[in-house]
Amino acid sequence: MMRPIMLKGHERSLTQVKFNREGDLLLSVAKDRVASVWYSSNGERLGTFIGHIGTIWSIDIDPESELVVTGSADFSAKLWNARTGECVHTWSLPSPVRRVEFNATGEKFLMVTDQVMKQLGSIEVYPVNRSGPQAEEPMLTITTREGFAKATVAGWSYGGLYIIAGHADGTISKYDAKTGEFLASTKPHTETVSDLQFSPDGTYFITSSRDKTAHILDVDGLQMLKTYETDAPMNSAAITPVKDFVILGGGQDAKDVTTTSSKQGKFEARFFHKVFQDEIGRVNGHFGPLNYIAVHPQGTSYASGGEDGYVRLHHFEKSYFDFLYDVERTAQATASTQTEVN
Amino acid sequence: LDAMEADTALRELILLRRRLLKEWTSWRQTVVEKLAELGLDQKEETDNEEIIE
Repeated sequence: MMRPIMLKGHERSLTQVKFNREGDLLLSVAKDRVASVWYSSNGERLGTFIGHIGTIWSIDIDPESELVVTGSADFSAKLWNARTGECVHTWSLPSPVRRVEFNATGEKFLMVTDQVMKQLGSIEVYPVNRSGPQAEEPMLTITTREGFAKATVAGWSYGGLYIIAGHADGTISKYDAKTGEFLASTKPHTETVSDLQFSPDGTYFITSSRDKTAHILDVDGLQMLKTYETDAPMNSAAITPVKDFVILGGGQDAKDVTTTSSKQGKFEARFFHKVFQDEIGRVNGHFGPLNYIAVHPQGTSYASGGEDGYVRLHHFEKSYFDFLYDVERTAQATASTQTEVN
Repeated sequence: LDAMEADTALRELILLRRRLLKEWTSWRQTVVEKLAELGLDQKEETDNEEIIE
């Protein structure tokens, strides 16, 4: 189905991989404290961002591919010059940073801070200054609400209007991105939400969970639109543009793996049809759980970051794009006939 | 008889998929229209300046 490129360079488990907006660059972070940037076409490493002294949990790059932000277990977040690899600013925080994400314009970014000791954990929004020093204080703080489990992941909806968060108990919550006002919550999962990725237009998102499922919910109503069921805890889920697929990745932790199940190899990227919810294929190759799945913004490839320390980059072949269910083929034919008539 | 049952199951599956696809497509249609009303169509996304207080 596709030819993988192995990106070797990290010495420990990958925590997140991400494409830039054009898709020519792939970023990766790992427990080895190094952030990397690679050419997505050939897997060549362009450079590294060195400075964190703990696991880097999360990375993002702004729409212009000028600035990179990272969040780390070392109680800091760092802003980097994407071209030179130079650290532009360091924010010191009271707890580890689990997730970072720029908004669509790159004018600000959010971070999810962990719950430790007396810190409840929060979502913080910082402005990004491109022509001067960075603000030390956040422009918005959303502290974990009473009765809520800590947030594990968060991201921006369409128009940057809402912030959607996933929580350690399986809850999904929604906030006004300007005021931080809590708007709604729902609990589609029974265990921690491990990942939350938006559709290209930001109107719906997919969540993955250790409860072995992934769900698609819409931003406006937080309605559960789709469910994908698997046989292993899921660490990540992504929505593919162009094709109506979703890709899930996960696997049992090494400590929970019995010899039988490790032989069966549950360390596969699983492809589901987004609309019909059927599993349509698997891609193996990793020697441990898949910790993160990212899809190229033009839908031409995907990358998986593994517990095994490797990033596998797969470019889709023609058969992938040709694949259609009969009902899809019929619907397309009908639509094009109607267009011709009109 | 088995063939008939298989036939029925297949027909039901096709009907289900047809319904799911129709539901999804019509929902997406409303979403795209809403984004257009808000001026948030994807093509224009890069031109939109977000207001920062």
